[in-house]
Amino acid sequence: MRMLYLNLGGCNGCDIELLAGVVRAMEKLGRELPHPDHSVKSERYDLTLVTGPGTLGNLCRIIRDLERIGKEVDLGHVVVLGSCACGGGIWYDSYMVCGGWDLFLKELSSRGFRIRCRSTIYVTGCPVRPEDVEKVLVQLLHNYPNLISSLR
Amino acid sequence: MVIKILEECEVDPQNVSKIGPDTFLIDLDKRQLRDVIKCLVLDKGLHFSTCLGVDYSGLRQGSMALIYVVTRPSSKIIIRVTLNENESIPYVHDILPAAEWCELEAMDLLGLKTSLPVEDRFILHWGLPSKVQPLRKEFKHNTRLSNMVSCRVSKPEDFVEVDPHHPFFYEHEDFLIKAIGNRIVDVLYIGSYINRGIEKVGESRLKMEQVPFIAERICGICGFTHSTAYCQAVESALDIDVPERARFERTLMLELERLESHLLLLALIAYSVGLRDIFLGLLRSREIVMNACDILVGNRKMYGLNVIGGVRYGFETRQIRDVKELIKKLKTSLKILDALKESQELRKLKDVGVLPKESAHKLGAVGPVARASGIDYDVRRDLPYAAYEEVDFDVPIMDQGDTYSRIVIRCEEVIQSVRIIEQVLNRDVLTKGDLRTEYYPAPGKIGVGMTEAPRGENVHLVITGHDSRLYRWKVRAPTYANLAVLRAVLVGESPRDAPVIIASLDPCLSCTDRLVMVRRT
Repeated sequence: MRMLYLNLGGCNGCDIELLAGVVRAMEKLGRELPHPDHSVKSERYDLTLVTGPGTLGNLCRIIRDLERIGKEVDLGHVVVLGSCACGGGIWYDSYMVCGGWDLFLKELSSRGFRIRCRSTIYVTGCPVRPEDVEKVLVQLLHNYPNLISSLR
Repeated sequence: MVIKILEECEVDPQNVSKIGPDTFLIDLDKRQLRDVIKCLVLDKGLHFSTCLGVDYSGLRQGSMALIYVVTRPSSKIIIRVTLNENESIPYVHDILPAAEWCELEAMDLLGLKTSLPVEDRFILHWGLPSKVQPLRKEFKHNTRLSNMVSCRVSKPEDFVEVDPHHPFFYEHEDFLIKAIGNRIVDVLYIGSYINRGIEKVGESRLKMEQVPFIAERICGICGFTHSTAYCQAVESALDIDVPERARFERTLMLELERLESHLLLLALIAYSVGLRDIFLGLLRSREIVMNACDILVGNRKMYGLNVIGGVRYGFETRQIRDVKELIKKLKTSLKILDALKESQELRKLKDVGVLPKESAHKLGAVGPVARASGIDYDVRRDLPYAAYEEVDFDVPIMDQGDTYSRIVIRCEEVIQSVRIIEQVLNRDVLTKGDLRTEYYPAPGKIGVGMTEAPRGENVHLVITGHDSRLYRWKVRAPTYANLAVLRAVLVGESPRDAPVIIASLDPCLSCTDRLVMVRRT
C-alpha cells in the first residue's frame, strides 16, 4: 500500500493527533501502516491523509511536485483531517490560503492538473481527536480488504 | 534605571513616555535610530526582541511607522520612528543581524521604500506582483491571490536537502545545506510555506475579544502561550488587572504545554539518534500530560481558555484531584529522561554545533537555545507574568552552547515545569475567586505582551483600533529569532549531524510562518 501524507500548512495540532491516532489504529489492526511520502512522488497512491487549510506556499509546492511527475495523479482514498482541511477553518477567507481541501483541488484543476480521488472522508475537530482518526482508518481498511491485505 | 540608560544613549527625555507599569514608548527621529539601537543593544547589552512596520493611515494622517521592541530585565522599550509615505526607511540590520528578518518583512509587506538593493520579495516569494502589500490598510484580508501566484521558486543546483523531522511531523520548509567534502559551508533557508495571513485576519475580520482563539491556532504545539501573550499585550495596552485565579490557571496550562512540547521534542531527538525505546517512553509520558489537559479543559490541545482580562471558566476540585494523580504518574515515568541524558548516542553530540555566547546575543537567540549558550534570560523570571512571581523554580543555564547542552537543558526544564505544576495544583485559589475583569476598549493604545514559550521568548505587540478591533497585531514567535542562528551552528559541521542540530533548535515552523518568511539566514 502506498500512502501519501500532505501537510498543507496546518499548525501541527492535527499532525500530532494524527500520529496518536495512527498508533492506535496500528495497535487495533495488528498491522503496520507504511511510511508515507510527504510530497507527491508517485502517480498512484492508495491512501492520502491531508491536514491544513491549503496555503499558497503549499499550493506552489504541490504544483512543483506535480509538474515533475506529470499532470495526472491518483490519490486513492483521501482522509481530510481537521477543521482547516475540511473547509478552511478559521482561515477560510484569508488571502494566503485556498480555504480547505476542496478549494485546493479546484485550484489545481484550474491549472490543468487532473487529480483523482476514489473517496473523500472528512474528519472534523480542532484538532482532530485520535479516537476519530483511529475509527476512520480502521473502518476504511476493513471496507477495502485489498488494502489491508497489502499491509505487513 | 531605564531612564538613566536612555539618557546615556542620548535620548531626549521629552520623547520618552511611560505607557505602562514596565513599558516605555520613545518617539525617535529617523536619523537617531541607528545610534540609539547600537547604544542600547550592542553597548548596554539589552535584548533586541523584534521590529515591525505599521501603516498608521487609519489612525492619523497618512504616515508609516517602524517600531522596534527592546527589552531588558523588568522593562520593555518600544522605539517608534514615524515616516512619510515616500521616505526611504532607516535600517539597523547591518550592525545588528537579529533585526534583518523583521526589517525585510516590514519592507516587503508594507512596500516601504528602502535604500538597500532588494532584488526579490522576501516573504511573498511566490511570484506575487509588487502591488500586493498585505499590511497596508487598503488591502482587504479576503483578497483572492491564488490566480496571481506563479510559483517560481529558485533553488541553487548544488544544494542538498535535509529533512530533520520525524516523518509524521512534517511541515514543509526548505533547509538547504551546501557542503564541501564532509563540511557544511553554507546554509540557505526557504520558508513561508505555512504563511496563513494570521495578522491581517486578526486585524480586520475579527474583533479584539475573538483574537485569542485565532492566536491559539498559530501553533498546535505551543498555542496557549500565544493566546496568553496576546491577552497580556491587550491587558497592558488597556491597563486591565487579571484576577489571581485566572493568573494561576494560565500558569498551570502554560506549564502543561511546556511539558507537552519539550517531551515531544526530546522524543523526536531520541528517535533521530536511534533510541527507539526512549522515543516511545517519552511519547507515553506525553500522553499523560495530554490526558491532564483533557481533564482540565476538555480538549487535548487548543484549550480555548484565555480571554482578555482573565479566563473563560474555572477548574473544579474534582478535576484538580485527577490531575494531581496524573502528575504523580508522570513523575515516575520521567525517570526515562536520565536514561536519555546518560546515553552514549547523546554524548556524541558534545561540541557539535556550538553557538558561542556573543553570537547568540548578536543574533538574538532566545529560550533554551540562548540559555544553553550561557545567556541568563528567562521571561518567566525576568519579566514575570501570570503567577510566576508566586512560585519557586530554577532557570537552568549551561555554558557550552553545543547540541548536547541544548538537549539536556530541556530535560532540566521538564523537571522544573513539574515542580511549578505541583505548587500551582496545591493552591486553593485555583478553584475559587473571580475569573475575569471587565474592560473598555480604547483606540490607539500600544501594548507588548511577552511570555516564555517552550521555545523561548514570545512577543506580541498590539495597537488597538476603533470599533473594539485591533489596528495592528505583530507576533514574534521564538523560532523566528532562533532560526537566525542556523548558519552559526551549522557551518563547519558534518552534514550527517545537520538533522539533529536543526532539531535541537526545536524549529516550530507554523509559529514562524504565521505571516511571513525570509530567504537567507
